[in-house]
Amino acid sequence: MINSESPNTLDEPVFQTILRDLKMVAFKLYHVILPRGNAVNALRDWDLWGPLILCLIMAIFLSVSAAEDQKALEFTIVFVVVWCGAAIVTVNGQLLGGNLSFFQSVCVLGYCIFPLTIATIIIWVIQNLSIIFKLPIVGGAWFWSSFASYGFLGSSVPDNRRLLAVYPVLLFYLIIAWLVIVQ
Amino acid sequence: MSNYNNKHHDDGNPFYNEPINTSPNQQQQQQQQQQQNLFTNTNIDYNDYTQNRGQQQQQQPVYQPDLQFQSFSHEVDVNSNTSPNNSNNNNNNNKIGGNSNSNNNNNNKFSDNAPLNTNEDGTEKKYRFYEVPYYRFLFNVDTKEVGLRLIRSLLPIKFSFFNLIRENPDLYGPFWVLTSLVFIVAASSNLNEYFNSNDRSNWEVDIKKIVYSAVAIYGYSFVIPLILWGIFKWMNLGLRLLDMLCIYGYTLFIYIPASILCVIPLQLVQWIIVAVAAIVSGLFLVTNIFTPLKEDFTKRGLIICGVIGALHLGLALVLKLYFFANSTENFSITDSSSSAHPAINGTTTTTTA
Repeated sequence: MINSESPNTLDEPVFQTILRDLKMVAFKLYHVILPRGNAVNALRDWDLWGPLILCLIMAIFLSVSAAEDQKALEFTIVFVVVWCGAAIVTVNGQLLGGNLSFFQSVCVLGYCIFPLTIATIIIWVIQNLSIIFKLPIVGGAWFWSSFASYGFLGSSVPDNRRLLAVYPVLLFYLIIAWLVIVQ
Repeated sequence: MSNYNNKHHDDGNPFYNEPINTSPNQQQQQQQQQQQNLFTNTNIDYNDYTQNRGQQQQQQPVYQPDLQFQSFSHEVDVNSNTSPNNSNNNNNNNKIGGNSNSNNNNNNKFSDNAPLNTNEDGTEKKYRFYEVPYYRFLFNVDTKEVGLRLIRSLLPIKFSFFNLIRENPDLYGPFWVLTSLVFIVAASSNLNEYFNSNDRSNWEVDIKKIVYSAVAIYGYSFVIPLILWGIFKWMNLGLRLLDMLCIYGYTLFIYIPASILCVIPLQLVQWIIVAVAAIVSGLFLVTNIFTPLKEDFTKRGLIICGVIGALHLGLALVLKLYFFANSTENFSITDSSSSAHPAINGTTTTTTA
């Protein structure tokens, strides 16, 4: 089956290939975001397309609404924070004794940015939202992101270090949430 | 905490010295002469290595507190030799550490030799220096231990921070304290500007502050420990780079609540908060660094600690004057700045808009 499939996928139209990847991304998003028990299985084959798409969406929206002379800087900072932050948090988990696979963990952290991306889009669409509304939206998104990724990452380190491994995740999403809320 | 600390002194002050027993072991005497009565961490073996294991076993019964610091706490469960003081609760399982070259050469903090690590289940697993788990010995702390170190950094009363981290310096605390501080300083600084601005609906966040605060804080906490380590190495004190990085990281912990509190728009309150934070952390830093210097290098130690204290105050001033600047103190503001800075507020001058 496998052998006969690979020449077939070379022949298929590009649209079909992209559609398949998009479906994979959507499937993973669905499983990661709704905290269900079998999220771990769904993410066993990691991919980085989803996090890249989410990161780009967020970076573009935040950059567009940034101050004039800081648009490029904002994009850079969002990009760097998301990718380097995910890498650092993953390495931190590994160093504390967890048995995480690097890319799988980066994949999960990237996918769990999805609530914050939704918050970004909401705030960008409804312009001039006052801080009273922004705060619960972004706060809720932050909490949702942290909770979704905790379900995956929390069980991978020993118990006496769990807070040490979870705190960087919280900080990571907090930084992104702050970038969203001050746009 | 290991036994030897509590056995001999309460707060870990190393200068309640017991008379040195004469040791039949030649090497131990040699080491005594080398290290004198300083904090010496040169004999910390993060891991065992076969050529020195015999020596360690011989030296253990005549272990001198604080003079001969042989760290046995890094021996892992598969090793037969154990420290008599090995009751550190960090040592129950995976002590995974790197290797250093020899007993005399333990000043280097990392080694590129083939390391010897163990898994949780006791099997030996070798990690190379380019693999991530090789560096697990730097993160060998529990939540409670990190919490304990953080709280100790807030109290400049006990001068024994180096004792606390002697067996087990970690880079988790320093790194995440610094990272959190970078972010919190940037966020509070922007919040402070927002509260100070007169035109709140047009206020834009200044993202460059993240970059500047990262440069300032990471630079301060990496460069100065490096310089200090070089100086102490030249003075043969035996303090490791990890110790210096550790102490600087934990020193800055108090600035996190200080920065959060600095969003209070009152200028006097801000100055008081920054002053208190600077004094407490400066005292912590200076007293703990002075302790190994006290015995032999009193005058030089005073000078060094004076410089350290001055640099620390310099950091506090930069934090206050740049990041939490109110418009009256912002020297670099020009007339062409945004509408957030109209005429100077009349707190220190008498001119009005």
